[in-house]
Amino acid sequence: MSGIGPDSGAAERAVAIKHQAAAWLERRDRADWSENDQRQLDGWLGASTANFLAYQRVAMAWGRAERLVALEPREFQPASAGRPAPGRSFFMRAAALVATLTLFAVGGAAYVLLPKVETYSTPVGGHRTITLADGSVVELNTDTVFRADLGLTHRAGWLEKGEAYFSIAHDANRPFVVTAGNHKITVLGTKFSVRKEPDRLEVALVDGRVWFSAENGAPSQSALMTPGDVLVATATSVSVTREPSKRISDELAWRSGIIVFHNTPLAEAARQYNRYNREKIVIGDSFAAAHEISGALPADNTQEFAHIAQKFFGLRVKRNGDEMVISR
Amino acid sequence: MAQGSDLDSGHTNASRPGAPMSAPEALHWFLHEVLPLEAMLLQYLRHNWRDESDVEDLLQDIYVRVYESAQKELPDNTKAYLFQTARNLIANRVRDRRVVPMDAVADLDALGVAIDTPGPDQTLAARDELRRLKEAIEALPPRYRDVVVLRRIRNLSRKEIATRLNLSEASVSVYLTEGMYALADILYGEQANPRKRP
Repeated sequence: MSGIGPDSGAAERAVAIKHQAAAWLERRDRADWSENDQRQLDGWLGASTANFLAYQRVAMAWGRAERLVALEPREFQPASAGRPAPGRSFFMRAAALVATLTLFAVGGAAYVLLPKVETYSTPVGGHRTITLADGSVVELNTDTVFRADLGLTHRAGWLEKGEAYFSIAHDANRPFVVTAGNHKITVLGTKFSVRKEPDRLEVALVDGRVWFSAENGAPSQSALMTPGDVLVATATSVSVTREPSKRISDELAWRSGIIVFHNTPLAEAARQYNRYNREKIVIGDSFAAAHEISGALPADNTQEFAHIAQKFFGLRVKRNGDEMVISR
Repeated sequence: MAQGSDLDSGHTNASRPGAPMSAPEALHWFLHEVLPLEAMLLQYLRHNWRDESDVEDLLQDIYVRVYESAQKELPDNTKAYLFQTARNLIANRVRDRRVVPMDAVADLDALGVAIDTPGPDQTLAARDELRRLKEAIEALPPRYRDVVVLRRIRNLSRKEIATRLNLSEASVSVYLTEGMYALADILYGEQANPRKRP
């Protein structure tokens, strides 16, 4: 059973419980299930109602699936057992697979003939998902420039500016190296995000392991990161903190177009908003700046922000060309 | 392996000192009346809660609440009770986290599911389940589908499956675990979370 740390956010905990329930059910389905196993399962089920219900739920689905035995057994000929399963969906899936493989083949051939670095970018407020030739997926946040160079023996990317979330396909022979400013992030296969600002770089690791290092090789500027780590590098320092996974998922909320604030001073909130919108929010005075905001807001909606400033903080909002000034 | 999970539950109650003896009834209610509403409930939660990553947790919280309360007394109208619990939970979270109320929450009632409609009749529900089971199996990724079909429908042992598919027994176990997980999600949650599946 995979353990879940005390840091795990509620969402991950719910999913982890469902996984554990499935793992118990799988164990229970084995021929060598023992009394000792049963005692352990009873302990796990008794530990919380959530555990108990998750197990009952997955066991119910599994139990019900047996009903299919009675129904046209031939319908479920396994795909790899010689005879293909009849039905439209199978052929469509197969056709899709062939199409994908062809695309990969064409993509690969084109690459060998024309090695070149591809540049991808997003405008302010933009959001774009790219699938690279190796199957890695890169999601670009607002106002971002990313270059990728994938070769037969190397995989490299440069985050010139902005923020990106990487889901790197595993390839032990070809580490993926992401360079951002003077720093390098080296990975084999993992999920992480990188945000590059003029004076600082932030890396949040969701899954797997990454090796963070400085271009000048200074050991004090290097770190091996494990999931849940958030690293902040400035020109002179590197610090790593372990964050609750809730915070990591908040950091990544931009992937669904949301910014999450936790007692965030209004000026900082405005700065974050301004990354996404052409219309810039300006905090007019220190009275307005002193307010703190919490909650999840759509990144592309300055209106919502103005609404909160007015309704909840009683501040004034004045439109001034491309600016929205919030003040006492 | 027992057939349904109702039968499995006997031993578990014994190990839960807090659970009163009416637990089997509550469990039966949960499995047969609550779980079939999961897809609808998920849809409701996604409409009314912006943060997708919280939805699994909200759902689990609702299940725990309604089940624990059903152990004391079964509700008259399962659907109404389930959605009322969901609504209260969302309202509490908005308050506790000091999340600024958003239009989504304000629209709670407007978006609400018609909770007064009676459930489908049992014959229809049974046929529907069979169709959904078929679809659920078909929706599994190929490797998972093979392992699930060979184990659950063909009743082959892990060893036989391993030989047949040229996998290690440990891999068969992994595919089976993930297959069980995904099957429940597809059957009840209607492919709610394709990205969570392997």
